[in-house]
Amino acid sequence: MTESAAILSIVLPAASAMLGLLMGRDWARDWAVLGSLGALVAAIAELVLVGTDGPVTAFGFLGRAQLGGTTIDLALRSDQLSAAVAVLVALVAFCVQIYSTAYLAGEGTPDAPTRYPAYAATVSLFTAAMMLVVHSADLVLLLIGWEVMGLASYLLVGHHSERASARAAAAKAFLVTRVGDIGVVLAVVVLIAGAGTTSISDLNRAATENEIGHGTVLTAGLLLLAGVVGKSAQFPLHIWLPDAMEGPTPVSALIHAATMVAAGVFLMARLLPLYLTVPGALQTGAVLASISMVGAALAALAQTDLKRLLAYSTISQVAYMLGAVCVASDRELGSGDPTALAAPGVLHLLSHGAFKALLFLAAGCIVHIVGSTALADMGGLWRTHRSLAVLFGIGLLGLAGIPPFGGFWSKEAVLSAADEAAHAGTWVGWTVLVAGVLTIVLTGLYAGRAWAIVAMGRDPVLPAVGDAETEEPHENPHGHSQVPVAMMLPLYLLAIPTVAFGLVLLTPFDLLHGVEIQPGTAITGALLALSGVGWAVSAPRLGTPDIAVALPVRARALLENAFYFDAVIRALVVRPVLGLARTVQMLERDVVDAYVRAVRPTTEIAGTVLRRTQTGLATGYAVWVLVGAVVLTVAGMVLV
Amino acid sequence: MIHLLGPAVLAAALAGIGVYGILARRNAVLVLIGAELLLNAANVLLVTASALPAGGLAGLEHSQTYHDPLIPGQVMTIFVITVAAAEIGLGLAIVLLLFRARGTVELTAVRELGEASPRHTETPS
Repeated sequence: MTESAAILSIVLPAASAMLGLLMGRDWARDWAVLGSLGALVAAIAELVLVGTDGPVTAFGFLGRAQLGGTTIDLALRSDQLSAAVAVLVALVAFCVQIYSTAYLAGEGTPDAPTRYPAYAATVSLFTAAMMLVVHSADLVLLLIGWEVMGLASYLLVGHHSERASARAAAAKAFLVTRVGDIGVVLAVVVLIAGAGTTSISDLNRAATENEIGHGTVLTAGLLLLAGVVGKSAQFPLHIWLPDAMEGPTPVSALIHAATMVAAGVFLMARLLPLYLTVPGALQTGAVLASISMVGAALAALAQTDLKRLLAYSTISQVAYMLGAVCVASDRELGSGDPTALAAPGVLHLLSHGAFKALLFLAAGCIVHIVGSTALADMGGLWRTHRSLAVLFGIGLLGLAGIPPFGGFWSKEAVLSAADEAAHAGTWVGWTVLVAGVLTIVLTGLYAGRAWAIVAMGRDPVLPAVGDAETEEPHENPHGHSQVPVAMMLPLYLLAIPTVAFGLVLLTPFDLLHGVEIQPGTAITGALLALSGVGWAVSAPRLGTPDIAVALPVRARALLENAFYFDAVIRALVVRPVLGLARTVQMLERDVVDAYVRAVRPTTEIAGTVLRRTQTGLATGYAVWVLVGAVVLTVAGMVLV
Repeated sequence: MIHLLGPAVLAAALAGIGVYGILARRNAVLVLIGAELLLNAANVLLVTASALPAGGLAGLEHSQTYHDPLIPGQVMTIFVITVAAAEIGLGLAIVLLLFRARGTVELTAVRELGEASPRHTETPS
């Protein structure tokens, strides 16, 4: 039963992607929604069944693959970790599919066609791939899903391919994540060569029992970390995520906020027993997570675009999860099950998925109303669209970590884990703890800033009808005053876990037994978050809705451009690579091709010379014959 | 049996005269005759060589008298005469046509196919 549910959660979205494409526009909507609903039901059934029947460590899915001397068992597994993440993925995917039917309704304009069937099929394909990643019992199978996710992300970021910026963002996302994915491929190679297996459970067991060489594990761990950093958009491979906001907003909600970027953390949690044997890899991850956490939160503080603000907040929040997993080696192994140490990170993964999807979908509604993603165009949502403003506010409160919202509990669980590691006396714990506490204030600040600008700002979203200057009733011709029901329903659905996620801690299932919330950090965190939000929200009293205006101009530009890291990457990576490409092109054109092109002038010169011998005088030709005969005779006499 | 020197000198003389005829003469008929002389020089050598015993000149010292019953040298001579007859027929026909067309059989007067010809053009008119 558990096996069937797990397989169905993968196969149903994949089948709906296929059918939606094959059966055309009329059926695409039904298949997309049905497929994601089926996946949601299957995932919930799996979670229940895993709770009652216990986890299933491996069951066949795609058979076995013979690779030289190694047999890769392409099997699935189903436990509480995979089932819980699967429910999150299916829930967000379901909400996004419903939302998209309204968001991408109609044919669109010639310069921005909606292309709904292709869009819905790609989202379904992504859902299937994420389910495959979540359920894989083998790194090779996981890698397949991992790459399909990357492909779907690329396709959806570039969905509006008429825009040059969307094409550039898609290429950037693809290339940057590819840098990390090469790490995963190499890690698989290293593990096959060094450990002889890629089965996750075998690897975890073998690493724990010291059956694999330390060097192999460390190499594989660091290479996998590269893949995690790329997929989860952590420093220094985070640069693709803010640009990926060029994709349709529901896609940003599903792929670039709630699920795919969390896949990296999921992989770390899956392989945590292996990582625990190599603290070096975890320490590297913790440092990168701390940098991402604080840096992205600072960058979010000064963004002028709502979606980019949310993107930087995603980087920052995913860094919380990564940090929580990376302090695991310094914490006490309580129940004996190493995966329990990943519980705070997984908890934050689940709650973040809910509130960030809610935030993005609400942002999509706001964009629908305003017709622009720039914060400068927004304001007054509280007066014009009260219910949407409330839902957006719930998402922001969850993001800021205000009790009793779900984000509070998960964030405090992360901080408590870091606190425990810090009290064990390691610098890793202290780094993550300090970065985490600092980020709580920053998160409160930018969440409050977003609220102050979008919901309270002075300018109403829709100026009064009959403006004296223009005959247009709307400020923006792309804007709408009403939000379709299909776009509001998913928000209500997602608001439930955002508000009430903390309740799972009342009766925690086995997966979350490792979660402990210490009152000290919890109260500190809540107060800091409240002060941050309060500071930002009170900004309008000071005369401006945007607290970022209070920053010095230079600092503001620095933060808005995310410390000019894009420019650094451009100088350090893009320029040299382009230079190398030009050199190769030059070698190809001026050296290799030169030989081919030289055939023509050489033939021409030879022809010019040799045509002189053709005099038209028969006697002259006879001389050549005679000379030839003499040469042959002499050669014959000399040589024989 | 006569001495080998006679036929060898005769062949050399014929070949020399033939080469001279081909290279020095401008009259096409005489050039053809030069070619015929060359062929006949080869014929003389073939018949001469055919008279040698098996093993060539070295065989003379052993006075072996074995002869190939197929006498290949003389047979080859017959072939050469046949080919030469056909060749001279063809050659004279060409010369005849040349004379009809141009009123001359001077080889230096017909150089249209050469690169240096003033009437040469890249594209046919």
